[in-house]
Amino acid sequence: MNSQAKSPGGNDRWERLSDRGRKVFHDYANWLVGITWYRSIVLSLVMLAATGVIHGLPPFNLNLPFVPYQLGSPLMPMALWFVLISIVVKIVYKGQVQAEVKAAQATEVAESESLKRQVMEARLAAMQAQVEPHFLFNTLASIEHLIETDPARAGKMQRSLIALLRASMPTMREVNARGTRDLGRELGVIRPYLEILKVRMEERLQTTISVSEGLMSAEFPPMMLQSLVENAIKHGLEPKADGGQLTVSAEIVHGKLAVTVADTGLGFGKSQTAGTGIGLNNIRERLALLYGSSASLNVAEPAGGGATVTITVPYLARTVAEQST
Amino acid sequence: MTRALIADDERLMREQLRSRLSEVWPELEIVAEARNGQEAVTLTEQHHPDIVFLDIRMPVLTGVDAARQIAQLPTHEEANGWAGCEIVFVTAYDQYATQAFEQGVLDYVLKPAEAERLRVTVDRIRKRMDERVQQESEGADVSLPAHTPDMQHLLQRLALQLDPKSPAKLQWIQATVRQSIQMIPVEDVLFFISDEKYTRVQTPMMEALIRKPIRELVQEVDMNLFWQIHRSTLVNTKAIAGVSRDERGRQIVSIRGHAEKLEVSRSFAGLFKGM
Repeated sequence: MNSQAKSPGGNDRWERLSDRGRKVFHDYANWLVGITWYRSIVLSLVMLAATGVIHGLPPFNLNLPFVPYQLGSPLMPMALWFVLISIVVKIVYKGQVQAEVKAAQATEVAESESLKRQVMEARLAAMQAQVEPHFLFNTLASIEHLIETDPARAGKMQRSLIALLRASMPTMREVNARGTRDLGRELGVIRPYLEILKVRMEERLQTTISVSEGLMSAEFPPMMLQSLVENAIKHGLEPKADGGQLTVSAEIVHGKLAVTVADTGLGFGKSQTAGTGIGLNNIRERLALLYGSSASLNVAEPAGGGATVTITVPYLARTVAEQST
Repeated sequence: MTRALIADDERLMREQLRSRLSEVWPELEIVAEARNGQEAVTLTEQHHPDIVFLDIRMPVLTGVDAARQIAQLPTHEEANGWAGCEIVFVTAYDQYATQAFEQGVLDYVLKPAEAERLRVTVDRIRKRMDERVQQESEGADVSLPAHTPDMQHLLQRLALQLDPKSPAKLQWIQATVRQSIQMIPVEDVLFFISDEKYTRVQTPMMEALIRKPIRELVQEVDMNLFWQIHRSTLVNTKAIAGVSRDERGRQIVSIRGHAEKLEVSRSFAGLFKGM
């Protein structure tokens, strides 16, 4: 109930006064808890000496000139009580203040985590709306040429491009509270992408997708698989004169879902276009945010050459309610 | 009959360019198709085309690196009279390259090649080729666009943009002099000249031999500081005292504080013009 709902005037003034008083007390208590015992004792003694409480006792019988000893009587008990109450407050409030500090710290951490997640999701949404321009224009160029020479294939490539663009559009509705989608959805982006590339690269690209039907509904974070496949093509297979093979597979390993993208391309750091690994680091960060230590990203260079990247996440089948229509 | 080579890793794109070219320049003969940058260089040396169309993004060697190597191929007397070739870049979308292209220094065509835009580039090239034939018949010195210092410098910068991890500009030459290894700062070098199996590094004080051939040095030294005046010679522009002509009409470069004179080859003849 809002204090403004009460009648204005007198009540309001009391509200303000009592709030002010509460704040003063709170500040004083905080300060008391904050100072060391040594300091508080010294200050207490100074105050008692100044108000003449202990002026009679040595070594305090100093007879300082400007101390109002003639007012000593009423001040004496007041000062004594004040010191005693302060000591009590200092002891009692210590626990309270510590609890308050802990609560504040916890809130800060929670806020920063939530903020980080929000930033990540915002970046994701922006990324999702983009298909890499180079890929897009090269594909459109291929479609244009096929229209004249092989209209059937032109239509097929165009349909794949439409499917890819649709699958790449951000639809926040589909992203559940944890910010994940399912494996089937991610494959819905990768399949048309690879189909297009197979027409363009011809014998230079062989692909295999082995993901069983049952795993399609497993929970999987968005935009990771696409990133790995793009990397495999851009840095592994495209720069290799004869191209090679790209495989996407998924299986349950020790109760977790492991999705692997493997290519027989140039391997890491060998191609002129090799990235700086920032993409992989991004994926690691996102996995840590979403799953803590239960998820991982593994990179391997098999003996025969090429690269194998595996993302492992907890295996969770999305419920029917969460799945998009 | 003008002859051309097309290089692109995607067959559809090679076909597309071929069919567009046949529309706007029917007399042009496509003598070879390369599937990557390395093949582009090899086939150019083999077939000696007059024009080379290079896709920028290709496996093994990018279009830019292929262009730089093509600019190093032997020409004229060493190549049955082949005068080198014009270079046209082809790109679908390359945010780095488009800057250089828009400045009009390099010829380029966008994928998919549209007839009208391709015609503009083709007309430019044909005009340049006709001009060159005209000037050569008048005895003037003309060098190919790929051989001008501006172009070599631009290609070097482009290559760096496309691949930021390529090595930085060469600062030191490590040369074996008698028993020891000398570190020669590159600014001290007057010129590099091919000497059979080695490259001679000449400074005011001394000379040394290194294994790195001129065509590799061209990729690595600052092309602002060094100009290539011959397939086998790289000269420090700050060391040039002057350029004169000999009895055969060839340009000769004289070096400050050094007796040797350097010959400018026909391919690079257009470098030195009075301002």
